[in-house]
Amino acid sequence: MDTGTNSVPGDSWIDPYVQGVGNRAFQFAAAMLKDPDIAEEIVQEAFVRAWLSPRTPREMPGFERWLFRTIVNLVRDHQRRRLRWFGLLPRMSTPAPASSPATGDPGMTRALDRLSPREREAVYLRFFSDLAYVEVGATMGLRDSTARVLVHRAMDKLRLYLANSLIEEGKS
Amino acid sequence: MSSDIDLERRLRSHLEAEHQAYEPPVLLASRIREAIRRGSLSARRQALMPQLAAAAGLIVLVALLSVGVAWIKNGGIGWPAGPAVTSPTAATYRVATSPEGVNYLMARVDGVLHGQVNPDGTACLWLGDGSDRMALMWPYGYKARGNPLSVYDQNGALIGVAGTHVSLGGGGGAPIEGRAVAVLGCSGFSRVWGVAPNWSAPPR
Repeated sequence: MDTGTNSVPGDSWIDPYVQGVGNRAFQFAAAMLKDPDIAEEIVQEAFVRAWLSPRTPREMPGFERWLFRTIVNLVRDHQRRRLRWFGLLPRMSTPAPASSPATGDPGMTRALDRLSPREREAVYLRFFSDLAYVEVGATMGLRDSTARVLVHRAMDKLRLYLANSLIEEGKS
Repeated sequence: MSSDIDLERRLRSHLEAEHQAYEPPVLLASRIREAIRRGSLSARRQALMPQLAAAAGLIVLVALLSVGVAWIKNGGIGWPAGPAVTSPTAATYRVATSPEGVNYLMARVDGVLHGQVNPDGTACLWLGDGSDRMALMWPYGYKARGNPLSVYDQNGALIGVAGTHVSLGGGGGAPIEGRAVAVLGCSGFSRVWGVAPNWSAPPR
C-alpha cells in the first residue's frame, strides 16, 4: 500500500489533491479561524492524517469531504483548546489573531461572530466554500436536510442581528 | 424574498472579501508535501510546548501541595509514637462478633495477628498459620479499619494491628471434626476463638 512515510508524496495519489484542494482548504480554515498561521498548520495536519490513514477515500468527492471534515474537527479542537486555555487565565485577554483582516462588512463580521459554531461552519461551507447542501451535510456529519435547516436558521439570525444593529446605529 | 436575496448577496460579498484577504501562501503546497514527508508536524508541537509546559507545571504544583498537606496532616517531621495506627477516617470493615451480653471465657492466647479484607466490606482476623489457624470472633461492637488492618473496640480504642503480636483473652479454639465453622468474613477455618472484652494480659 502506498502510505509509507518514506515514499515521496510528489509521486503519490495525494499530490493532485495537495494541488487541487489545498488552497481552498486553507482559505476555509483561515476564514473560520481568522488566523492564517494556525490555518496552515491545521491544513498540513489534515493532509498528514489523510496520507497516513488507510481509510482515506482516494477519489473525489470523497477525498474533499474527508479533508474538510477533518479540518472542521481540527478547527473545533483548536477553538475549544484556546477557550479552555484562556479560561484558566481570566485576567488575560484573549489575544486577537496576528493577521485578522479588517476587510469586509464589519456589521456582517459581528453578526457572523454571534452565530453558534455549527451554524458558522454551515454558513462558511455553503457560501464561502460554495458546497452544495449534501456536501455541507457530509462534511459536518449531518443529513443534507439538517444542513439546510442549519443554514436557514443561521440566515434568519444574521438577518435579525443586522436589523437590530441598524436600529442601534440609528438610535446612536 | 428580495430581502433574502439581499442578505445572501451581502453575505457572499463579505465572504468574497475574506477570500481575498486569505490568499494562500505561495509555498503552501510544498509545505504540505514536506509535512506529509515528515509524517508529523514539529512546528505545531513546538507551538503547543508552552501550553504543555504550563499544564505540566500546574499538575506538579498541585501534586506537591497535596503531598505537603498530607504530610503535615500526618504529623510533619515528628517521630512516630508507637506502632502504625490507621486514621479514624480510614475504611471500616465488619468483623465476626459475638452477640451482645454473652458470657466470655477467660483463657488466654498469644500470637501474631493476621488479617485480610474482603470485597463485601468484611474482614477476617486470625491467629496462627497453616492448619493451626484460628479465626477470631470479637466482642460485640468491635470493628476493623484501615491499612495495616487494625481492630478497635466499641469505644474506638486500638486492640491489635495485623502483623503484630497480640495476647487475647477469651476461649474456644477446639477443632471441629471435619467441619468448617461459619465466621463472618472468614472461610475454611475449623477453629474459632471467642475474644473476651476488657482483657489485659497478665504480666509474664
